[in-house]
Amino acid sequence: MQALADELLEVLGPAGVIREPTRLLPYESDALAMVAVRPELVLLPRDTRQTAAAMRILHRRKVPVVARGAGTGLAGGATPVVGGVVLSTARMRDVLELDPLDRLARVQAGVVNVDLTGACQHARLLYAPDPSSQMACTIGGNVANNSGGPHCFKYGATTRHVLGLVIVQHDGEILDLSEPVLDPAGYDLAGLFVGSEGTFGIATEIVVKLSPAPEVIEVQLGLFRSLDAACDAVSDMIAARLEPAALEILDQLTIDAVERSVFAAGYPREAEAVLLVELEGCAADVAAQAADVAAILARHAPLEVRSARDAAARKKLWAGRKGAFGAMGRIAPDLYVADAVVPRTKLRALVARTVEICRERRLRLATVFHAGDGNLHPNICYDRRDADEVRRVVEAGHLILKECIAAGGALTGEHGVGLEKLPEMELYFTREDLQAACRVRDAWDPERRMNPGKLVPTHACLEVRTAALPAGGAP
Amino acid sequence: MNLERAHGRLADILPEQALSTFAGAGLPEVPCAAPGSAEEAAEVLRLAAAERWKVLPLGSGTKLGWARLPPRVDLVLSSTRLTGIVAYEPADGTLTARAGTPWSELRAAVEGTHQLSPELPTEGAGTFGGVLSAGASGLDRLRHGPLRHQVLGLTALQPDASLAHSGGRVVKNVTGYDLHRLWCGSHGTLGFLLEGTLRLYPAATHEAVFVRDCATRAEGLALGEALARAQLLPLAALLMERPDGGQRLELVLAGRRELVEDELARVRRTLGDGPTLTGPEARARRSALAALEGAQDTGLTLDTRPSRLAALCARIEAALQTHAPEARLTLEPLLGRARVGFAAPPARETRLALARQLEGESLAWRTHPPDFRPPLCAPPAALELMRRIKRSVDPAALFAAGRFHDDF
Repeated sequence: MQALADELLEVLGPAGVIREPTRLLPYESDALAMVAVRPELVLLPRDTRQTAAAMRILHRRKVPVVARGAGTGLAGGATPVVGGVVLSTARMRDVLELDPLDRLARVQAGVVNVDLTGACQHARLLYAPDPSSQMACTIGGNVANNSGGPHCFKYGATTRHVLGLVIVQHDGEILDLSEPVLDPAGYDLAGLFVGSEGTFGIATEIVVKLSPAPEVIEVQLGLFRSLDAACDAVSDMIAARLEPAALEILDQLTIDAVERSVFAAGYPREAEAVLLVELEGCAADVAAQAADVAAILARHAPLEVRSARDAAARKKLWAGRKGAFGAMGRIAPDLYVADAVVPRTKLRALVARTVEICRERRLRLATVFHAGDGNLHPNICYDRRDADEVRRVVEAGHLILKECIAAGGALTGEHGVGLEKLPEMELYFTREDLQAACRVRDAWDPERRMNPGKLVPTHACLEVRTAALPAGGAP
Repeated sequence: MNLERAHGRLADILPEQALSTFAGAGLPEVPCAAPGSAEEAAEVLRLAAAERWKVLPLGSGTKLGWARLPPRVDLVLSSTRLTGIVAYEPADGTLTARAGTPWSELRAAVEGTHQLSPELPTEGAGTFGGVLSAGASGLDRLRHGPLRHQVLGLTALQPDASLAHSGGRVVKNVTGYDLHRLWCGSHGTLGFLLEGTLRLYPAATHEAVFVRDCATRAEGLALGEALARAQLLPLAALLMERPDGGQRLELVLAGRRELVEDELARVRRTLGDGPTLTGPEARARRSALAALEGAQDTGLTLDTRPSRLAALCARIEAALQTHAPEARLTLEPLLGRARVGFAAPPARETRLALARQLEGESLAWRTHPPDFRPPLCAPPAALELMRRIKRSVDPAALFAAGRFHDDF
């Protein structure tokens, strides 16, 4: 271990290597806090060159590598592996290029999502993917997870905004795919890399598409007596082919938590669901869409409809949604944030089923979801000190995923598979599907040292190419 | 290859109407098998592996020349009997179909309700699988992006005859690797596509085509830059040569009435007035512009950043002046794309000379005669990775290699 650390110190400098046990603590887990593993070392390269140099050393010594952005991932994708190192992008925080005319930016992987939008605001541009953790999460982490966010209903997830990548491969070889082309020459390597959760290599630089900031934004907020009514209103909007920028729903327990927190948005307590609709575009188009949305909301007998155009009033309407996860701390000390997708035509039935599954298991369910995409986030509030409750939470989470898959949905809409959803991968995919995935993974990382044990169940791959290092140290 | 023997072996698996002989595109005559199900297709692949045949997947063949022709083909595996729309969910905005379904049938199925992307030049004849396999973007790429952004999921037969799925039928999904991104545009080198799901866009209720003539290409490019500065993003923006030597900028606007009217007003504020087609005239012109790319199928495509397009044009013009003075240049100024259309397919020597002179540019040919196998414009590390992917997915090189490079 000492020899490895010394060698890495030579290429990364003292600021680039963490080995003191107390300083390793924050890297033991990502936002899936129930799994924690102490890494042997944490590396903080400053750029592509340093990353490549470090990766060459790790390749020579056969050390497993887990890449980490801000550690906001909810699926354990950045959980360290025994005997491995964590390679953090926290010191790669430069916006390398911002070209308003070509509407693109080249950033280092550790640039924080919200900082990128901040950097291009002066040019009336924005970076569209906006995960709920955007104040902390990094563009590199977004690439690894193909992250979404409320506005991905209109703009699509990260993969639609990545124009190019610089990737450091498992052996330290630099793969420069950063020059944007419309139709890639040969295989779409960059497209394949996005969402690969650190198992193919480490993206150090990312070229992203920037979108024009809308001229007008209007938020409509419908308060309903039932969750069914809110879901039906969403289905009607999709069927009417309306294209809001975001369509978000909060359920009754979430409303209650929000109203009792500092994020209180003035939602009436009798409301069982809040539907947030954000419209954007030119003034005339927003006005026309707003009229269509208002008509649909009215059909479902809302308690009240609020709307806002100026930034301060819009922020107030969004406050409950943005603060929802923070507010849930008032319900229970721990929160299991599930993530699944259902066909939008089956939204109401599947939401009702998640409520039922949790009720049967005496669990408190607070649902917040990207309704426009059919992306459910059933959040189960629990106390990890209660072993029986933990068991019921895990069981409910598994059942919810099973139901969503059976209805033609997907296992994860934006959080990724990581460690958390490995068991369910075999519900969603066949053995042949997983073997096809393993063959592609082998081409990128034949030794399976990159984020081993994540995303694809190891036993599905017939053989394990690299045993993890023995506990206690790298050679 | 003994045709008679091959047909005999295939007849053990497939009915008579599923067997034919493929000839064309400069390839020697080979048997063509058109399985009617995934099971039949898997049986054919097992036979091909046992016989060590090299297999070329094919739809209707309209895009066969969009990539290099493989040096050896022993069997054409056709998707033309795998047809039909599996699911069209208007309320979900998704469409699932089998690979051999004509692209035009898909478009007709969603007509009036949804918009299918990409808008392609060869819509009449192409199949869904062929479109996916070629992976090319269409006229609407400025607004909707490339085809690979529209693909939600694919099912493909792997070289070992196993069935693999990627993605799904929902609009948001990050479960597992996006193998469909890899398969899309792989020109049949990694598997045989059976079925796919696309996201759909709301059908435009209004359309307009704004036309602005200008004297020179430089003036046209300056207009393009003005559009970029105004952050205008029409469905398409094309700068074309007029027969009289001048240039014409055409902007296709589509969407809800309010959006189209607003965009048109902003275009006029930015570029000044110009003739505008609306209604059926606009729709007809939009189709004609999509087809124009087909008329330029004899050409080549070069991509750069929009801000570098003028410099790229200068290089192209210099190259054309020397080697192909009859060629015409069409530009997409907001995307940085240049398309070169030749009056007739250029000879191999002309192609090689142009490629030499344009070395370093991102360049793709739209036709590949059998004797023309240009190197793929990709960094060495990317070529090596593509080679490793092909080897890992298809170790026996069952699916005809050489579509992109010598071994993949």
